[in-house]
Amino acid sequence: MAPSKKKSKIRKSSRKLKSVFAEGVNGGSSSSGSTLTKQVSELQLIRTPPSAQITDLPDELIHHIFSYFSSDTTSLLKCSTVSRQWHQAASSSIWQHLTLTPWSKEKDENGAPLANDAHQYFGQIATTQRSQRSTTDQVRKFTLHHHTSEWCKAGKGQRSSTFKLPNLDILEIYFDGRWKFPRLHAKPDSPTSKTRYTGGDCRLLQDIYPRIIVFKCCTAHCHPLCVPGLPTSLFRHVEELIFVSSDVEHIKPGKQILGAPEFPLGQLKSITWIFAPEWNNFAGTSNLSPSLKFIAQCLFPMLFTHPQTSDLPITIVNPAQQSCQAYTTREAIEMIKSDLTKQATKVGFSETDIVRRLSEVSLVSMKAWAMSEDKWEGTLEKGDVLRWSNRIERMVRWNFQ
Amino acid sequence: MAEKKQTVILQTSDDEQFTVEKVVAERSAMIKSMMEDLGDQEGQAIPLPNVSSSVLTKILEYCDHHKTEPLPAPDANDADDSRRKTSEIGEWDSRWIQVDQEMLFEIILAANYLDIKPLLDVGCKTVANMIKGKTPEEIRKLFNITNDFTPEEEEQIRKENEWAEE
Repeated sequence: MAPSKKKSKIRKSSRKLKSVFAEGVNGGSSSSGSTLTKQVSELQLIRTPPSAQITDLPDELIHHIFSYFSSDTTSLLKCSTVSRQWHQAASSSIWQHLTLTPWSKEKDENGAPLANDAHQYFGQIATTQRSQRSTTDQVRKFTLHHHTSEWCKAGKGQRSSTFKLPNLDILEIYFDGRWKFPRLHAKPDSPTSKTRYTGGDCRLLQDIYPRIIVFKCCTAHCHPLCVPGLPTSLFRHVEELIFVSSDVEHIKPGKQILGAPEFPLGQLKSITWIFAPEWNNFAGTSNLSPSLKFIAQCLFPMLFTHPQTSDLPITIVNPAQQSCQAYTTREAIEMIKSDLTKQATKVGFSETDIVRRLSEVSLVSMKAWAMSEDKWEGTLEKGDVLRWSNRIERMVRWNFQ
Repeated sequence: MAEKKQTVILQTSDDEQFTVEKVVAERSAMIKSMMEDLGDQEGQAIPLPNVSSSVLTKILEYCDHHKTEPLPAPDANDADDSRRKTSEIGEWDSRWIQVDQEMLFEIILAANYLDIKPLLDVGCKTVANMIKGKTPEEIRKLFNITNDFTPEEEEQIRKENEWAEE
């Protein structure tokens, strides 16, 4: 390698001399003195070949290199232990999105995953917060996967351990009724429940103030905003509420969901409900009414009874397409609207009031919504949205055949 | 005269002058804006005090090969650009970038200074591919990086990272 390099230098040197010569002939501005300086620096170059090292790269370039690992936490974690500079550069990518999952690898006797030891985790994160380049400062998105009673008690008894995410933008909470967390599903007002939730006691959520909250609901037991353990303060700065619900199979016809939101939602600007096809028995292939009823029941208090949200625009993103045989977009919204009307009439709203409030509900098809990327980019995972959209496309095609 | 207008003179840190086609030099957003500033001042060399002649020769090869491609938008946001999402490098580029480490980092530094975004991407992707799949110790050895952590810091990072593991 080395000899060829030298050769190319010599070639260039001769080219260089030619250009100096040409300058001299033309009587150009350069004096003989500066020509000499040029020749000296040329000699210095021959003695010093390219010598840059990775340590010469500024932080921004190290960061640029790490940006190719954005979905590869394993590589990022390895990089973060290489050196101080690399640790700094890797942490912001690692911690930008913090995900906590309560599932350990072990299963209970019914095959459901067991909860992790949240106490231990909480203690650890409290420890890490002491360091100056605090990892939790980097967190922009926090996913609590899933919110359970275990998280609510996390860190109890550890006095100084308040969990803070000062730069948090998005909180994503999954709650899931498919696994049995008996204490979570205990009726809030049940006197027999030993660990009764009165709200405000989830230690992980106590001191964080997101701008956007994404609720992913796989259960129909209660209103997403009434999930036990959500503290009132959590909603203080919330501007956007996004609900993602899927095909609800567990709701029994006629059963009312538990609770209605009573939180202050003064900063709220928009509510979006995304009806996401997470399973294949969807849109046209199964009975949608329980799922639509669940949406209607959850929207009702926000549209009619909550003092701060009843004037807000509500968007429902619905998977049904114009061409889908079983439920068109319009039929789906009519089902939701008729359910809302029924509930509102029951509690004494006048017809004009009902019509006025329902006019704030708009509906977007999943396809159109997936294409208006600016509405969800950075908030929801691109892969999720595209999966929903593609799944519907497939089902529509299937229905036609 | 019309033909002469199509070239520009670049002067490297080691005072070598390169006469380069404008379409080639324009790959560098930095040179492009300097040419615009200079306007019609014929024969005025653009100084590149941070680039040596050997590195510029190499980079001009790249610029020449890509001179017919559309230039990236000047305000393209590097943070969430789609080009970031893939670590694949074009065939010609990957052959062209097969250089020793010193040259590779010189290229990256120069691409950054000259503001040639696609070239910076090629360089950084190449480094990312070199890192991938290696242990921290192997990475240090490969790039000659000193482990400057204290044992306490190492322990701290180990604890932090336990959190992030999926």
